[in-house]
Amino acid sequence: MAAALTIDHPVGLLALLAAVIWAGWLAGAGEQLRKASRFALPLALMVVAINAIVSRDGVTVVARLGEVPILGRLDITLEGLVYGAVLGLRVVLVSLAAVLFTAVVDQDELLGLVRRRSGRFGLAASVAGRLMPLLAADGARMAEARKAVPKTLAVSRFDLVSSIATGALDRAADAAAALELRGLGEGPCLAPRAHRPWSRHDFGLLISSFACCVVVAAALVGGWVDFQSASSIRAAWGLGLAVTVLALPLVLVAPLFERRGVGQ
Amino acid sequence: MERRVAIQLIDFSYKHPEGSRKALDDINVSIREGEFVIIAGESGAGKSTLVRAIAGLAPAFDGGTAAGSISVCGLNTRDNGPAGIARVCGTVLQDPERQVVMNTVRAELALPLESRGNSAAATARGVEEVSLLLGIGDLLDRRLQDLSGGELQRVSIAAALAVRPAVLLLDEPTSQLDPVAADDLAWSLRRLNEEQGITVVVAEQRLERLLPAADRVLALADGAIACDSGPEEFLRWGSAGTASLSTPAARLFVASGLTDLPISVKEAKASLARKGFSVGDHPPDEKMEAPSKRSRLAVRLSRSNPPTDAALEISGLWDERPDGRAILKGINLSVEPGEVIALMGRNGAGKSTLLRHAAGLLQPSRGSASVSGRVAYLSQTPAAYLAGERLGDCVPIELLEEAGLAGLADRHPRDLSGGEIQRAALALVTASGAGVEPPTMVLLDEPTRGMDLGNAEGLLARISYHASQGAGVVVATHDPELAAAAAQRTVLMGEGTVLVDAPSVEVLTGGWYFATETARILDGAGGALLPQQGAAVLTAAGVGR
Repeated sequence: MAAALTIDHPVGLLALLAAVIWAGWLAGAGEQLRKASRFALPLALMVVAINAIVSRDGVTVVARLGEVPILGRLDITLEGLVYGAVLGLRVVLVSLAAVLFTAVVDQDELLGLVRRRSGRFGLAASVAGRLMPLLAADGARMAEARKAVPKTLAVSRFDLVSSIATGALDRAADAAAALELRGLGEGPCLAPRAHRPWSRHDFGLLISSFACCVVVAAALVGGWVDFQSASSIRAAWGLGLAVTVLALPLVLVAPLFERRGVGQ
Repeated sequence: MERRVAIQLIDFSYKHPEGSRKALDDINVSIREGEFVIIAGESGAGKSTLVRAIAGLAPAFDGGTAAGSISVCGLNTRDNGPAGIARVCGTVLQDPERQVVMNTVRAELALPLESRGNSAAATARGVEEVSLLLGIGDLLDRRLQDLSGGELQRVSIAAALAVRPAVLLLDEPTSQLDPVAADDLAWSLRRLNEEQGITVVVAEQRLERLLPAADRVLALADGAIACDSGPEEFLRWGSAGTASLSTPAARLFVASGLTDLPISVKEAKASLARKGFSVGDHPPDEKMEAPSKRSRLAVRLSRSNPPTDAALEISGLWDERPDGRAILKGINLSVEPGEVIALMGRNGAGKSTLLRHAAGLLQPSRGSASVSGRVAYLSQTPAAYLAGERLGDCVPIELLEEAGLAGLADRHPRDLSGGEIQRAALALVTASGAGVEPPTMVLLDEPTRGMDLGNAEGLLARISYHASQGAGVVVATHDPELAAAAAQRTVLMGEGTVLVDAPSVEVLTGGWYFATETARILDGAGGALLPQQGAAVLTAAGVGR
């Protein structure tokens, strides 16, 4: 995810996107990625459209829309479109990477670690983490219920979304009450966890993360992934970019090739 | 030596934030250590509110105003709050989905142990022991979001028990459990109470399972204690007043004119044996058997030669998931217009999935489910049908009037009781007229969950009405009494397949679990399923009246 936020070059971002999809497929999270992309892609298109309209940078005009109320003179530029496309690509990449993270990382283990560092933050993270699947389940149930009601009596989509949103507060209170009943509100009193020996998969992922950092750092320092589209489009092309684009997916996906002993 | 007080309520009253009257009114109760207490009462009597008050949630979390005091093992709820009370009291609330907080079952059970500073070894041992106690060892590494309602309920109970609390407080713990799991839970609670000395307080609608284990019953009416006595005296009190605070065994005895009301099947059998009733002397009588044979023939014919005008026709239906699990395995089922079918089976047997396929909400992997007209489907979560700020915004006023809920039109749906939500949602899905065609198929998933007997009778009337209008009705339920009262046919499912598809009288008389209490007491004599039918058998045998 950090790589997606530091690299600007669209080809580098595409390489990362390929790595995320490949990793998701190997880790058995392809279905979750597919579902997430149904929300991420329209959001990315919206980012491209808005950026094209509001961007005042760029010299290559591709369409003149004339005077528009409030916005004034509206020229769509190639640079604005490209910059919006990069932002949109980044939105898709970060969304899918977040979904992959939640699908393959043990959230309970992670929350356990966080609670040991900061009890209150851990508590808030627990509530927030629990809230998302609860709200998703509420939404799915309400959408299903809406289908089961005669069309003339069904609530509008707006009412449905509004009901889910207002229900979030109730759900948060429920989750907080449940945590209190489990004794967490008394403040953290956590015993040290048993040391769990690292498996070869743990070492593999650690090495992969480290190697990814090295590749990204080298690409940034070496200027292999330079890209800017403020007034005109300038992008680095060459061997460095090619090496980065090939190395990133391989480095990120390598630990997932050997999956013996790992649940899907 | 007199036992110490575990829970004490002194002059306790409580009013909900927007309530016009007190939900709990001047409660004075002492519960001693090691007691097994049932909190009984009709829907809306204040059972859940009392549980939440003892757990420290009302008013600390729920808002509202309270007077008087509650202490649990010497801890005052006002000073200690829910987390402080949780040190001595494990609490399980009504909706299990709202009280799990982690992602996997193992982490959920470990959380309370870790929160109290247990070592890793003690945590691992605690998780193992409590999972064995509740029979959820095979669920430990499953994700909570993948569990059924019944499985979630057992996980919630296990999480409350993990820290070995001195007091266990449960709100309708068997409402989502199948008969087997509910009986297992009742025995587990009894064992914990008798062997470990844990004080058990259970709020419950259906009393027959837990009454034999109880030392005492507190009956609430309009937020006040209406009866505080032992189980036998409570049954006499309940049977003299509203029948909904009674058990099928007690209703059988009352209907037969017998006065020594039994608190268990065993006691009822012994009492009838003393009066000279023997099942061997009273084989199933011909009058009751005759229609049963006809029904059996009809069932066989409908399976071998399905009618073309069936209200619902399910043929070779498979539901296979991407992870390889098959939830439904080649289901064949036909429902004729006007026929009422009960769908029973253990938690996770596939009942809800089958109803969702019948409602056209899921796509089968193989096979088909077809309905000849409009389907009215009510899921296990009726609150999902009421998406709005006012009940009147979700359900038209004429439907609310029909359901007897017009006075609640301005209330927020979340402020309604479970029974009121159920009635409003049912009125909405089964609506007809004004451009809406009447349903030809009515599908109800666990409609009596958390419902008292009075509301259940209203539901039965609704089911009968739709069947009389020619609609096929399928009711998925864990409640044999509902199945016996409503359905001509009972389909018993297991592991995604149909195990039995036969007339209700055949399925619900001979079993240990999937049988009504009347049938268990009379061992199926006369094919009697319900107290009134049982009373007829007893009267014919010269016992009672």
